Amino acid sequence: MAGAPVTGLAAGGGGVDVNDVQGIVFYAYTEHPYASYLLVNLAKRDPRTFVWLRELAHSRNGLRRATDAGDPAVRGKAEEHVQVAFTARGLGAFGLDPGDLAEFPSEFVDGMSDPLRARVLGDTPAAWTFGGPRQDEIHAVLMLFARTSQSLTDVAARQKAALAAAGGRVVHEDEGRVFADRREHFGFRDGIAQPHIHQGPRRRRTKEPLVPPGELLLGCTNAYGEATVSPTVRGYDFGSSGTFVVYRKMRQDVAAFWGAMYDRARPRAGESLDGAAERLAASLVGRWPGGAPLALHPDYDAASAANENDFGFAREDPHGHRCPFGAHIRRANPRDMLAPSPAESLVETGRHRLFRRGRPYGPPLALPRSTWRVDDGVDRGLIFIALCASLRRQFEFVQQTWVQSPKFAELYDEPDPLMGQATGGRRFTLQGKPVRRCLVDLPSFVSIKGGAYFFMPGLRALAWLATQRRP
Amino acid sequence: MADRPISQHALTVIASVRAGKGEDLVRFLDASSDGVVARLAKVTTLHFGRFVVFDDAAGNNLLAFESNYDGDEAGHLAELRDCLGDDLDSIFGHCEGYTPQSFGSFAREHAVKPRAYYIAHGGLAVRQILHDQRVRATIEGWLDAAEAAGTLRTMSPRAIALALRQHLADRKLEVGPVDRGLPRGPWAKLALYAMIPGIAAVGLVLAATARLFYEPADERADAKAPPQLIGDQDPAENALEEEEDLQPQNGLTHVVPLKPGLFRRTAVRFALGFVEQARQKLCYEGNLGGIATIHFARWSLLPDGTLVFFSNYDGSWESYLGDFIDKAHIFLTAIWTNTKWFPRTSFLVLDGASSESAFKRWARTFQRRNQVWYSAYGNLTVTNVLNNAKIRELAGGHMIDDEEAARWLALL
Repeated sequence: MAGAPVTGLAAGGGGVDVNDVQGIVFYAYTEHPYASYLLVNLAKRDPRTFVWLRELAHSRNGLRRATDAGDPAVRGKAEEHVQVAFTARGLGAFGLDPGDLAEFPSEFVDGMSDPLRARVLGDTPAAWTFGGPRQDEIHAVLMLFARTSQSLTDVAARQKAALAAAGGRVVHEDEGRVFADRREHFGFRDGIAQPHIHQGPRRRRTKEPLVPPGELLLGCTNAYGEATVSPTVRGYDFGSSGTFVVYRKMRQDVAAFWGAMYDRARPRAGESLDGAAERLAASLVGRWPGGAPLALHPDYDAASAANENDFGFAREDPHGHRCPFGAHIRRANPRDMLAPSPAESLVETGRHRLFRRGRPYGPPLALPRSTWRVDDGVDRGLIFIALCASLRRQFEFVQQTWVQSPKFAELYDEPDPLMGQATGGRRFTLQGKPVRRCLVDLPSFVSIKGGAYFFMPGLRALAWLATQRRP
Repeated sequence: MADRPISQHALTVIASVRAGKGEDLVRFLDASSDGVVARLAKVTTLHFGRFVVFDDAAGNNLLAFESNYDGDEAGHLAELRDCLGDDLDSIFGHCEGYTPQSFGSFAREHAVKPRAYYIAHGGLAVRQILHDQRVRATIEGWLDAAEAAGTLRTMSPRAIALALRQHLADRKLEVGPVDRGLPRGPWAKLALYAMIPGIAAVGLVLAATARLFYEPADERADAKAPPQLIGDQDPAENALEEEEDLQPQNGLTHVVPLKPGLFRRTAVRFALGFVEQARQKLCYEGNLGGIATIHFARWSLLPDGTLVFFSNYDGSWESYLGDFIDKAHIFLTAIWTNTKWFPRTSFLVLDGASSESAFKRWARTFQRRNQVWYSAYGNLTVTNVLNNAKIRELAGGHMIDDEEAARWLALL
């Protein structure tokens, strides 16, 4: 691995050291479609925990750098990739006390289930199945990516054995898969609008937005032209090459979603019920199932536009007659639509982007979609994973001010049509002629089952952490 | 409804708390906050109000009462006295020079005129705002019912509009324009433009003087004694966050001493004077320097050189401060660059509030917790209020054709 040709990658310079960054920071590992996420509890201040980390941080055990992942020779051959990140309490297991963590942002130190964070995110952690206030402390997440189901089983067994030998245990385990066409369980192509950073090793597809590296990595220049704060711990630049990780398990109620769409669908002349339900569902999402954005393709799912990212809402659809103002993709990334002007809006949205690395969990449903209205009783959803340099300014802001805000886009009282919780009659307005249409009393389609905030250190910082044992 | 334009005004009463009574007063306000808010809700002329205790530059406790009200001061004070009664005596009883039953005269004596005042929805009285919201809710209810009955699909825009108008008339809900008394025509703008050469000349002199003398001196002072800004793990910040985002609106109180000397005092007055003139002449409807989420905001300068800022805004603190940085940093920097520990600026208007993390840390350091904060329409954003007003206004049209009707229906 050390021999990987990195000259072209490392040439980025300017603060990004791709040799020091964990691979998932730049890669989604789609060539490794089998994933497992082990949320673990470590033995606190135990010598074995330090040995465990020292072993884990060694690349022969699968911990991959961005340069490994970017090198086709390694990426193609390696059976598995392992990545690791820690909660604030997890850093505590290595003896870092609150004073040591003083330079970390409070939302990370307090954690996702803290009452204030829950208010900001619209969560009820008391109802979670993991990561909640009365559940086992989560210290770290091990993300395992494998080429085959068998190699995933192997690497998971090895990691669990190593963990058990160190006195740790798995408190929650999720699996993730990459489905054909990158569809999520509601049937929509997902993760189309991904930002990329300047100086990153990946060649971006055309028209994907570029943001400064400090939106993803600590210590680098961010979208305000400033260096993102990189926490110093015990005099060591621990934050360098690190990023924050949002982990949320979202259960998707496919039957509720498509049931509501079929119930409320209104076929146009000559249109089937299936077609009308699909059109209605697309208006909640803002893209057709195949990916084509409604702002450009209001009438059909244009196959040529499956990855289309070159559009603006103010430019293509100022009245929301194609893609409703409250649609999910407007909220997740408002592009040019925010006040006071499209140019200023693009600057503002560039300061609140997320780097998504999640995957669906649970078995996919077989077509035709009309059968999806019946609940098959199987748990399925999305392991939402997002990386960002500021949990507060990026993830929490997007969630609070755009996605979950009932006041988004000058609306009155409607949260995100997919993610919003049904607290007394959820509405969704479709702007149109002669007058708006309003869906009323929508049930919840998505529920949060648990989650946590993690910090994903760079490789040098991991090695340093493994040496911090104090007698 | 009002026959003549309603104007909104700012009342800021600031009084010294009697020595040693500061903590008592904070405890009393915290304990009685719910009751005081319930009684403020009875004041029909009150948009937003707050009681907040903070320190002046010398560390003395002050009590501030803020209100944004309709009509004349005497009427507002009388209504406050009628609705809050004993509360006012209990609260102001902690202050120097207050004698029971003297709220009206005490408030007038201790009123501080704002140096700059911003109103997002000028000329819309509280009653009007609540009325407009009823008009919209009635329309939406009718549309939902018609939607469910499936009758809308075959109707023309004009037919829908006329049916809606009839429904509003049946409910005896008044619609049509009201005189908001806003500056009209090009004259107000021209008056502002006429002032520009003078403003520019003074501004340039101030900026050059600052760059030559005062900004380098500040940098040296900051290097010697770095600003003591609080971190986001600070308990004081936690206490502020505890009380934010409980509804779609929030109230910000920010209290910071000016840097010493005549120059800073002159520069801040000049910057605030400019904001006030621009507001009066242009009115800035629904939009303060590109920020569309502020209902009311004011800056007041206390005699000892403390700059007090009250704002009533929509959304989270994080998004509000983000707007300051993304959209309005130049004129905010021009004001606050003259205050203690403000992030480094050049020429009074550059850098400063565009330094994201330093500006947010500075803002939190000087933010103060409101003991009592009240909004008369806590579930309405500025854009909601203005859109409701437009719905009510255009509802008074004749709906002579589909085009006019469609323009109106597009607001729903």
